[in-house]
Formats: sequence, C-alpha cells, structure tokens
Amino acid sequence: MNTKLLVISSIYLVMTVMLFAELGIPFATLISVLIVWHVMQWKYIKSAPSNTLLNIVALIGMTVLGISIGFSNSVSLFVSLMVLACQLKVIQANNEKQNRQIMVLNFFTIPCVFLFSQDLFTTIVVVIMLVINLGVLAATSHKQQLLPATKTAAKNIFFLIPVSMLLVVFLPKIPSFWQLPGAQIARTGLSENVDPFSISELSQSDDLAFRAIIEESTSYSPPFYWRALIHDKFDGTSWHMARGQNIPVYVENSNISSDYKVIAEPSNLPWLFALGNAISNSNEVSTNQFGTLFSSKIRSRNFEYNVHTATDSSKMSLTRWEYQRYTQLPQKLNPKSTELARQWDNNTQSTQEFIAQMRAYFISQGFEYTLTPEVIEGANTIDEFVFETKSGFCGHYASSVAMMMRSVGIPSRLVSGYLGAEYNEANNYYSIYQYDAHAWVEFFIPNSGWQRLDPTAWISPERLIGSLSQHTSLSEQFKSNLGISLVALSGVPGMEWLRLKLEEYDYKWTRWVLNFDKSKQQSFLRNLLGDNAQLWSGAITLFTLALLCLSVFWFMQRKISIKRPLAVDLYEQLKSVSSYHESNLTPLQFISQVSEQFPEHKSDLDMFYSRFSAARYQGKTFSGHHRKLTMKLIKSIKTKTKRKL
Amino acid sequence: MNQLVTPVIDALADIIFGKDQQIKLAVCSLLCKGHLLIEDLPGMGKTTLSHGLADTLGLSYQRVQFTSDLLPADITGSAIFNTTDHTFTFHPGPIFSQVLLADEINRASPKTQSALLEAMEERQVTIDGTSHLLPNPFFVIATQNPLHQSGTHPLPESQLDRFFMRISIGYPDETAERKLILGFSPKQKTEVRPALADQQLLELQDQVTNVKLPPPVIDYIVSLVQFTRNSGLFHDPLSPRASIALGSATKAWALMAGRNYATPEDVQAIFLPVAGHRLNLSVKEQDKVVSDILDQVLVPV
Repeated sequence: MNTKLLVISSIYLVMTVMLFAELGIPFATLISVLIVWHVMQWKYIKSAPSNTLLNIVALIGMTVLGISIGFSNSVSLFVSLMVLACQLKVIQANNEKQNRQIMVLNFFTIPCVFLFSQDLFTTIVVVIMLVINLGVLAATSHKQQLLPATKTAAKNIFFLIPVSMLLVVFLPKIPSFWQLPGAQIARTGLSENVDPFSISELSQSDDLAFRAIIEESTSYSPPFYWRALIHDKFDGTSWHMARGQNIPVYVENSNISSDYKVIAEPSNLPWLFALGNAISNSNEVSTNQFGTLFSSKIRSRNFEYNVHTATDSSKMSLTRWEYQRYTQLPQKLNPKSTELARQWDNNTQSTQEFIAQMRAYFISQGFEYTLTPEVIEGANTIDEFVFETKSGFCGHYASSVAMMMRSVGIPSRLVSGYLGAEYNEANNYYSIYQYDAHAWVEFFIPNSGWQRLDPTAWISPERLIGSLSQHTSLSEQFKSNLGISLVALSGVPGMEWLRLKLEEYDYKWTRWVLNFDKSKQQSFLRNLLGDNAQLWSGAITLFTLALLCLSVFWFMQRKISIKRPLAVDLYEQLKSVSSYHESNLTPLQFISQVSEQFPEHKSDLDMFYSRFSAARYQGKTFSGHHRKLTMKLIKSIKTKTKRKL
Repeated sequence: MNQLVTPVIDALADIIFGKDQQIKLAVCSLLCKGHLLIEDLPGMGKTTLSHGLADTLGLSYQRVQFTSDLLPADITGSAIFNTTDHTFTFHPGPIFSQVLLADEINRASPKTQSALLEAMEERQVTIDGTSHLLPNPFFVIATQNPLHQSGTHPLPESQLDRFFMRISIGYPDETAERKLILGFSPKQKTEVRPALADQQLLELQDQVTNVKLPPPVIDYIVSLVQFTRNSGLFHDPLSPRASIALGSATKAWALMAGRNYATPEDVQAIFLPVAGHRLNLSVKEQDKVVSDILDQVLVPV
C-alpha cells in the first residue's frame, strides 16, 4: 500500500466537503466511509482487498448515489460516480501503474468542482489540489519524497501561469463542440410561491445573488428595489407566480433613460434582476409583460447583462380581464381584515388616502419586524397576523397589504426580488446577497400605471437603507439566522474588512476572468491590435509558443554547475589567504600548520576544523552562525599573513 | 583511541619498544581480516612482533619456520594410513590454527609458498578431495628477509597482492635500544596476557565495516589509485583489490583513532603499508616513492 495515496484520499475528502451542498449527505457519508476504509486498509491490513469485494461496494455505492441524487440531475450524478470510482481505485491500487492512472485521472476529476462553482475560493482550492496531485504523481514516478516533489510541481505550475494567461487572452475562443447539461445549482434565487405564514425562521444565506455596476450613479439612488418575480394569484395562504413571465414582449427602445450592468451568479432559474421597468440589449435576455427580465437559457456560470430602464412604458389602463386577475381573492377568507379594509374604504375618497389609513393602522398597532415569526396555521392567516401575532417579515406585510387592497377593488400584486445593496467604493459596484431578498406590493392607479408600495418600510424604515447586514436593530437575529459566516462575525474587528476584501477580489475575478467571453475578447483585441486583431493575436500566440519551446529546449541544454558546499568554500578561502595556499596538505595538517603559525587563533581554527569535518566527513550541515565566525577568522588570518610577508 | 584497541597497543608496546606506528599498522591489518607481511633484516624483531600480536589478541597460534625443503603437506597436513582400521586419517597441519606464523616465507620453495597463499585466500584446505575449513578468525603473519639476501625465492606479485599489508620494523632509536639492552628478561616475556577475547576481536572487525567513508575520502583513494595507473611511473599499478584494501584499512584506522568516520589523514597513514608491496617497491625505496605520490596527488577537500 502506498502511503502517498492517503494524500489523494484527502483530496477527495476536500472535494466532498466542497460539493457537500450539491451532492448531499448520502454521497458525503459514502466517501467518508470509503476514506476510513482506505486508512484502515493502509494501517492494519496492508494489502489491497479482493476485486469481488470492491465490485460489490461499487454496486452498492452506485445504487445509493442513483437513489439519492437521481438520474434527472445527470451532472451531479456523473461527478459523484466519478469521485466514487476514483476513491475505490485508490483502495484497490497496488502497483505503480494503477497509482499513476489515478493521478492522471485526477486531472479530470478535480476540475469537476468547477461545474458547480467558479468563484475565486474554489479556483484557489482546485489549483492547490491539482498541485498536490502533480506532486504525488512526481513523487511516485520518480521515487522522491512528497514535499520536494510538490515544491517542484508548484514551481513548474507557477512558471506556466504567464503562458496560460497569454493563451487565455490571445488564443481565439472557439465555440464548444458539445456541452454538458448544466449542473443544477440553486444556492441563490427566489421561490415561485411566497408563503410567509408557514415560515418560523427565515433562513438566510450570505451567498452572493448578483452584482451591479452602476456607472451613472446620479440616475439611481437608494432604495434599490431589484424586481425579479411577479405574484398575482392569492389562495389564502400563499401568493403564486404570475404566468407568462417567460414570454418576451416587444418594448420600444425610444425611452431608454440610462443603463447599468448586472453580473448574475449561477442559479437554475431564468429570472433576472433589474430596477423598475427594464429592457436589455444583451443576448438571450428579454423583457416580459411585467417589465422584468428573464434569460432564455439557464446559466450554470456567472453571466453579465446590460440593463436599460424604460421610462414607464406600461399601460395606463387595465382590461377587464386584467382587472379581475389583479383583484382576485379566495372567497370567505379573512373576514376581519376584509371588514377593516371596507371601513377604511368607506371613510376615504382616493387610493392614496386608503393607503395612508392602512399605514396609520400598521404603525399605531405595534407591529414588529422580525426574522423569526410565529407560524400561523389557521385558514384566516391574514386575520391572525393583522389582529393577533402582529410580527413578521416583508412577506407578511406585503401579503396582508396586497390582500386588503384587493378586497376593496384596488388592483395589486406582490413583487419579489431584492432590496438594498452593499456598495464597494474602491471598484464602484454593488453586491446583493441572498439575505437581501425582499417582497413588496405594486398597485395600479388608472392613468398613472403601476405604483410601488413597500409596507415593510412603515414598520422598519431603516430596512430601506443599504443592505440587511447593515440593519442595526435586527443584527442579533440576523446573525443567529446566518450561522457561522464572515458576515455573522462582522462584530469582530478586522472581520468586516476581511469580508469586504475577499468580496472585492471575488468581484474582480468574476468580472475580469470568468466573464472574459468571446465578445469581450474580440473587443479587447480590437482595441489593442486594431483591425487585423484576429491575425495578430494568432501570430502572437504562435510566436509565444515557439519562443516557449525554444526556451525549454535551451533550458534542458544548459550546463549545470554544482555549487561547492559551504564548508569547502570557506576552507578554500582560508587556504587561499594563508601562506600555505600552494602546498598539498590534508585539512587537518593545514589547520595544524596555521595554528602553529598563529597560536592566538588555535581555538578558532580547531573549532573551524571540527565544523568542517562534521560537514565534510559526517554528513552534517555547516551552520550560518559558524559561517560568520569563520569569515571573521579568514579576515584576521589574511591581514596577519600579509603583515608577515 | 578506541577503548578496545588501546590495551592491545599498550601490551604490544611493552614488547616492541618505540615502534608504535608499526604496532598500530599490524593491528589495523588484523582488524580488516587481512594477512600481514613483515619484511625486515634478521634480528629486527619480526618474530617478536608476530608472537606478541597472536598473544595479545588471545588467539591460538602455530609457528612454521619456512626452509627450502619444506613441503606443502608440512603446512596443510596430510592423510596418513592407519594400520589398525586400514583407512586414511587426516592429520591437520599447523595451518589449522587461528594465527599461522610463517617465518621467513621467502626461504621456502615456490610450491610450498603457493600452497600457503591459496589457503590464505580460500580460508580452506582441500586434501584428497575433502575440504577442511580453517578456523575463524584466521590470519597469516608472515615474515620475510629482504630479497637481496641469499637463498630466497621472491614471492610473485600475484601472491604479494594477497597480503593486506606489508610493514617493516626498522631500527630502534637510541632510547629504545638502551632499554632493550638493559632488560628483556624471559620473565617479562611470559607476562604477555591476552588483551582481547575472541569475541571482542570479531566485534571490532564488525565495527570496522560500520565506519563511514565520506565522499572526499573516497575521492582521495580513487585519485591515488588513478595516479599509480595514469602517471606511467609504475610498472605494476594498483589493482581494484588494492582500492578495496585501501578503503577498509582507512576505515580500520579511523576506528582505531576512535572515530566512526574516516578522513584523508587516515588514508595517508595506511597508504604506504597497503600499497607499497603491491606497487612492487622494495622496502628501501618505498618511503620516498610513496611520499612523492602523496605530495603529487591533491587532497580533495
């Protein structure tokens, strides 16, 4: 059994940890058990298990993965089977050839992590794992120690970085010949139904949802309401997504006011984010009838698109059918709220006044904003919330207000999206996290169109400024909901700075490396090289590769000079300054001659000889401390010898 | 000094006065399991040294005085017909002892010499198709007179090579001579006691193999050997067997100095006795020639 294979097992352990969210507990358990088995095998049994046993384990493992991950999610299944097979091969390997097969296969297995995440952290971890893998490969095939082999591997990879950078920039990007279906990643994203009343603890995550680059900051100012999904159907407990959100409509480009860029993180939903009514000129991004954006393709990679704000192109009136749709309510539910809304409606003349009444009610009745509300189980959820529990988060307020407005015939709908943004001053961009997810209300006024109304702001006005992470009164709840993460640790000095720094580097990585696609490459090359950019970039690539081959050839041909050991160097120096520099003496004879000549240096000379003989004859090292002492000795012997001459 | 070797050297120094270097070389040769050749004029103490060595090391020994009419069977032993049970029984000769003192080896006929030297190399004797193993340890300490003396058959080069070392004792200095004249009573002679047990000698021989030969020392031995081959000054340059012998003698010398690593000084100390006879140099000329070699070959650092 090869001890170095333990390192490979630990690489799979790291992969398992990184893919834990995607591949689930059964996979993690399976791999952990196999790793424990491998360690036991290595420590106690010291020989590979039989092929029959391994095949049985492989069958069991494949069944477990097939059931737990399922065949619909083919990419996850493929990756998990790959890691399973590699781990089993590690247990089985008992000769050099099999060891090497594993390591070569790892160059394919390890980058599979990129199918799920491509951020800076993942990249660094994957690169480290690849370096270690290369080191183990070098160590096994050249029978070296692991550490020096890994160092050499790291050095070689380091020298190849400029070359690979050059290739990324200049080598024309060829469209892929075939594609895997994207992995289903759902770290961020919004749910299609808003059902606040069944949630007792709003689970929050500090994963990045998207970033925005707003060049002309004057046109946009907080609060930033990022619209994503429209919900128009209320069934008493939850709000369902409006249909037709993935049907593009034509929007006239005449009223474009200003534009900004959004870099969306991978999610397995098509919905994109924009401020207000938006249109986009990016490929595969369209506007639907609600003025929100969607992508015609589900992205498993970061994806950048431009957004223009269309100045209120929405209709000034609703059709009869639309009016019915936006005032639809389940029958005979929430009688108390409906009654309350009717009273207000009777007392007021306009929608604005009605809203003011509502606002006054919510402010005066001691409603609270909380991330950990009580679960409401009865049928009249909104009655219970408005009259009894009186504490909840955005979904509760938006839901209640929209329902009350519908009950008096004001067309209204729920919008979910994100509120707020964390601004990075140095690089002028905004980060929006999953915990910034928000829901609010839009209502329709004839001749002025759809208006935004955020009832949460009545209860908790500070939620409108910045991001939820900057919300002071909720900070305790917020942090306990997040669990362990850098945002949760933001009270610790330095952590906030660290988090923002990491965030900034990740932004740069996303912007300049991950999103460097074909069109960006083309425009960059055109700016750099002028009209014949394609030709020039090809020439530069070829030239560089030729230069690289030549320099490697030259490097292999060079003469290797072996450095003299320090002890020999010092001895030769001492000899050259003494008066015996031409006589053929053994070191001991020489030292005794010199100490006869200069009895005052006898102890120093003896000391030098003992260090010298330790270094030259006993395989020990000559320390830097003794080097200094010897240099001093050489100097004084030199001056004294000169004086005598 | 090595604490096991010191008593041996001290005991020998009580027998041979003022010849510490020669005593140490003789012990060094035995530590390397090598046979020793002592060459000097008559009356210089060759036999005394060889007896003393066998005594102090606590080894059983037999002495054979070589003469021109000595036959091989006189050393190895022979099968003699037993008249009572009508069989040939093997009667081992003097070679079946731990130390064989071969006095004046160059007085015997070449046939007898070669019988001895074959036994030295093989460490066994074959008579009438039966092999008889010699005891372990087994040493031959041979003495010979300088070649110019009358009635000698010089040992051929091939057989000289089988002796690990050749030493010559040389004249004593004045103080030693005075001491010799004053008293070397028979009483004192019987007082020689073994300074080592059998087992301890084997142990020391084992330790010799564990002494480190660092690269500069190996380089030095190699360049010395190469010099004898490439300089064109020598008719019989050193053989690979000589290189091996130089290496192990260097180790033994380092061990005797109480170190577990060898230095170039060790090589210089043993070079003359190990290489002198192999280069076919006479005792008289070897001092000068060898010191020339040591002067000309640079000591690797």
